[in-house]
Amino acid sequence: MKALPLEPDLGVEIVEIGHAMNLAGLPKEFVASAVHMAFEFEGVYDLIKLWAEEQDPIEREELVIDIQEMIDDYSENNLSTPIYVRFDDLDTIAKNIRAFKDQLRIIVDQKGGIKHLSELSGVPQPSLSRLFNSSTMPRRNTLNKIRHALKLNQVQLSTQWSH
Amino acid sequence: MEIIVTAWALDSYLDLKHRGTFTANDYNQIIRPDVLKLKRYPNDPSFLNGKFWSPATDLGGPIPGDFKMKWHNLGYRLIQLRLPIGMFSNAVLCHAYVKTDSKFEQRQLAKFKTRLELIRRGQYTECGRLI
Repeated sequence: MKALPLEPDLGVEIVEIGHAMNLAGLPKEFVASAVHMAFEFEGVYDLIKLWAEEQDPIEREELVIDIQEMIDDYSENNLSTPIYVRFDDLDTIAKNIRAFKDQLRIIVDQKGGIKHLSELSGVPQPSLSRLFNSSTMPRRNTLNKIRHALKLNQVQLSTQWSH
Repeated sequence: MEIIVTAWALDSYLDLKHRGTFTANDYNQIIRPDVLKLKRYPNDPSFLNGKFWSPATDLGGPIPGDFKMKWHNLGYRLIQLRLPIGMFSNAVLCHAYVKTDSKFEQRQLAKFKTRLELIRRGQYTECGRLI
């Protein structure tokens, strides 16, 4: 799927949705990234359009989470060499991810909670909640934002992650 | 044809397994053997079955290069599992999900479109190959 051709109507529509997102109180960093990506990826345009048309606040939150995922996908510095994971290690990996997230959540709660972290990091609150409730691998981009927001040094975070 | 496991596919496997969406037995006896059929694509007769394999479509119609592998009434929860796959010279597995309603499906397809573009640009992490 190629990047969207920049037609004036489309460009204006994307900017208007970005404005609506800003008025809705979504973090500015998130809105800027979402708008930027919508110009380049039809799938992200679809997501922000769904958000604009959606009335249900819960569904809107889910769309915000999905858009943030796409932002994270785009921002990740993809490695030129693959990271091979053995299937037999997956259960151990899942447990380690869970343990790491639980430890990080303790730090987050000590430093003001998820809402405060969202304000500091620019990551939408629903995305942070999903991060801590799921068993997926945390994105490097998101961890860096959390690290900067909470003023954790690289060693602190790396130590938690390596454990 | 090689079957490439992306970080998205791996994440979805971890998440769905953690939620008890399918068991290790479901994976080993049903899901994995089905996905391995991609090595013989398109020559396995399963690919002629629209209930098992079909183009991914959104409101604009079929998404070029995008397909879905489908499992119906899987496991004791009888879930509808979907695995979007980008078909290039190799099969690239993206994020699996449980189909619930049409809004959720639209969101998954929008994410798949974005990830497919990232794959075309080489902006993805490979976590292994299914052998």
